[in-house]
Amino acid sequence: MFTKKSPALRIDEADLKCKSRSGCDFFGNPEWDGYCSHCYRKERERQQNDQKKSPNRGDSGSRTSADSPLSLAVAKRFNKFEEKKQQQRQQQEKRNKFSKLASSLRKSTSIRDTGRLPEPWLEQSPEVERIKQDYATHLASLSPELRQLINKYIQGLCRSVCSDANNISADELSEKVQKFYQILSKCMDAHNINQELKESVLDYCEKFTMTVLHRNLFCPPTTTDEEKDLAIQKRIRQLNWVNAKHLDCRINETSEEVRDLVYTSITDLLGMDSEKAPQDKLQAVVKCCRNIFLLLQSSVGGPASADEFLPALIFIVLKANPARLKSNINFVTRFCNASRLMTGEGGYYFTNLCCAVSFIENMTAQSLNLPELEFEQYMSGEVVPTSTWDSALMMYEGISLMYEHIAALDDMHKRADSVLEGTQLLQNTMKKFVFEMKLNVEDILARTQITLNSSEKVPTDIDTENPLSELLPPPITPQVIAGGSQKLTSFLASEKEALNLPGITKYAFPSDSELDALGTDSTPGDGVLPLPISDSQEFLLTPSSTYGFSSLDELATPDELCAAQASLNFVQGLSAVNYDIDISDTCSDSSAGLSPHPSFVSMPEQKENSSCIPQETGPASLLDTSESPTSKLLLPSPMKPVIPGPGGDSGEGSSPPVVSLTTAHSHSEEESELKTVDPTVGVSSLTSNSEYQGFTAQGWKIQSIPCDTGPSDLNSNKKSKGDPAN
Amino acid sequence: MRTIEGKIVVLGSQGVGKTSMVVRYIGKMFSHHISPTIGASFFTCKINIDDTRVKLQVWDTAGQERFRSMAPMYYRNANAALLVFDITQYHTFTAIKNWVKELQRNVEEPMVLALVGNKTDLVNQRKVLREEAHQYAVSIGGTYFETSALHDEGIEEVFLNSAIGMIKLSEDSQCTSLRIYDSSEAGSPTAILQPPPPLSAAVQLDKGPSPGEQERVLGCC
Repeated sequence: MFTKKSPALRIDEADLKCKSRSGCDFFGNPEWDGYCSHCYRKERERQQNDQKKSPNRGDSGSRTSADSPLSLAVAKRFNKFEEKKQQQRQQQEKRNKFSKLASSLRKSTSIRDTGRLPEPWLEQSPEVERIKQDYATHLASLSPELRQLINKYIQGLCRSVCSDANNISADELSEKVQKFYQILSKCMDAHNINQELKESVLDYCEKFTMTVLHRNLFCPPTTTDEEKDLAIQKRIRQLNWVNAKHLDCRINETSEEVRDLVYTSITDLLGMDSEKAPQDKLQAVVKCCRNIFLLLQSSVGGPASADEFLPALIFIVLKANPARLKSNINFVTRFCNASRLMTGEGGYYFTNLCCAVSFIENMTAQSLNLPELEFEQYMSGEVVPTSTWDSALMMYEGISLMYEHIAALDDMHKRADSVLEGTQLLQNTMKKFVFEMKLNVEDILARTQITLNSSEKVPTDIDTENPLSELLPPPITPQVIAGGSQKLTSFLASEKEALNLPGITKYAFPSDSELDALGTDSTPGDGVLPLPISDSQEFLLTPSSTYGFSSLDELATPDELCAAQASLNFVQGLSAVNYDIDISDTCSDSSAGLSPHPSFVSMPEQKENSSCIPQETGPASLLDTSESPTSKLLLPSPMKPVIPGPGGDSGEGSSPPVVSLTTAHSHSEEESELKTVDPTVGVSSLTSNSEYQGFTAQGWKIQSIPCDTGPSDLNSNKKSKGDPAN
Repeated sequence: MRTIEGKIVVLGSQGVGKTSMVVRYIGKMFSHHISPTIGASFFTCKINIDDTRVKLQVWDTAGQERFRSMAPMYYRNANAALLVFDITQYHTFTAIKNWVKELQRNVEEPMVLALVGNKTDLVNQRKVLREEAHQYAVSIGGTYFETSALHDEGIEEVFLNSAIGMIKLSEDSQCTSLRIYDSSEAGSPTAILQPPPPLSAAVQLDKGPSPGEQERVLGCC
């Protein structure tokens, strides 16, 4: 998270790189004119060679000043400064002959260097001047003698370091510098300087020499610090996936205050590199660590301990990835006044920083409490762990996805509703269609009553084609007629075979031809005929009692008036109906069986006409098949709702039977409509047994009684369809 | 007046109360005028014993096992070590034994060792017997203390003992890491050698005429 947003003070890495054109990958240093130590040395050797070639001393003297006008001006000023110093030195030489070390140093250098080019350590920068100003008051309180002595030591150190920096190892350099500190300390003790002043003078000496010698001492060419810098930098970059959680570090990343402090401490840590004196570097570390304590305090909500501090520091180092980290650490350890480094706050925090770096260098899966495999995956970049920020993003994504799904569900719901509406509409149209069909059937029925006799060939057609074709007139009528006629014939045939039916025996025994004649063209003149017809019609119509109304039809169809009366009776009152229907008790009971009279059952068996029974259910089954698939598609359990809903549903459920009822006998639409308007009556009348208890008392039974073929399914469809629509 | 500057490192497993102990000690010195929410793991405090001023630098360490390998960096140049364990958890006491072995192996200079059994407020859950700890402390040449950071019991003695131990060490010439300097010539006794950083504490303990009997806190800086 913190790596994504770099602090404001962050410098682009390219600016820090060595500016050598050979594509050197090391970091450059302003002290080395922007080169890395390696390239700088090469460059310098080249320039020195050039100088040897050109004997002009004045030109070579201004070598460093040739770079820029600014440095030229600075060099001029320093030349003056140097003159002054040299004067001082000469005076000092005369006066202080006892200081053999310093003088020997000076002598040795003067032989080589005096008058040649301004010594590198005298190329003072504004910051050196500033240091001098900062400590001017402290220095002023020193006796002039001591001041000169100190200056002498400083110059001696500078000179020796400058001449040897490239030749001796870093440890020797370090030893030299530490010795210098000790000598200074002893010198001041000898002069009875009070502790406070001594500290500040030591501070000054350290700061001054280290700032001046920074380019010689920082990352000396004899060390491999630069490689280590690159190594740790690469390592930290590799570990960029490590977050506060891995380190068990309780940094509250979501708090803005804490985040600001994290950035501040990162900036502080990065500032370490820009400082030159070791104690300034230390101070940067201390500042960083104090900010870490502050952020821990606001994260944890109490005083933080070392247990929390070290992980937090590691976290900050990982996120900051400071430039030249190793070089800086080594510089401080080597050249900071040792007696002061390992004591005090700076020393403590610096030790912690070293710990953090060493932890980072040696970080393993174990030290992060991660499985080996996971650690490897993270290190190789195969898997990227989720940080708080990432998880927040993911959460947001999840929420938006959820909303998307909700919207999609709403859409689907609407569409499902529209589908339901459509199906309802379809159902209505189908019902209407069925109703119209029935009307047509009625018409046909009315007509076929007259042409009843000539319908001998018709049955075969109906048998073959009817089940599938919708366009054909509903099978009821032809079937009825066919069955009727066939039954009639069969009946007559059986009559011939001396099947004794008491009512018929009286009548004539018509021959086949006679029967034919009876079928084709009715000769009403015969007194015999009417009776068999009526009889046969009675027989004919009884099969329709499969729907439970046959008895009514039976009553109605032969005589229109009778039917009208019956229907009127339905409308008018139940009691009246009850009377009429008493006859049909057996019919309604046997509605499932499809054959009202046992005698009748036996009849189709004898004839091939048994197919008439399935045919009769034809229309119902047609309705069934057309409806039930849709019902299965749309609704999980269509049958369930049927059971609980008695009152209102029964009316609807019974409507198809009513329709069939109307088809059976109605010639006028008014009548049929009357019946459809009050279907419950029809049902109740149909279902009523001899012990009819009244409409309300029957209650639930109403549903269970209608036959379970077409109508009930239709009913259930309707009901369950209505539910989701609501 | 002689001044001794020494480093004291607090070692022990995680959760034994190292920091609470230090914070309790330093915090008490601060309690008069500074907010009790000092969060730090580095403290300095000054204890005056007889005519010697002891400047203690207390280095708190992270107790997690995974930082164990970094411990030498902390105890390097230390003059005293507080070995803190939890009397209710025996394994923290075993860990101390490992710490001692490590110190004996890696530290050449003499060191003041103080074995501290913390959490005496949970004495009914005690797992480490006082005798056992005491015997062990004697065997390593240290002193055993029992403290309660929660109730602030016995903590002062621990630091005082370490300071006295350092004075003894300073008389031993072979100790070089201890900074000893005479500040008698420095003039005013009120002059503080180093302005205390905001997070450090300074304690002045003046000893009465009969040493060891009467100790009172004169004031805090």
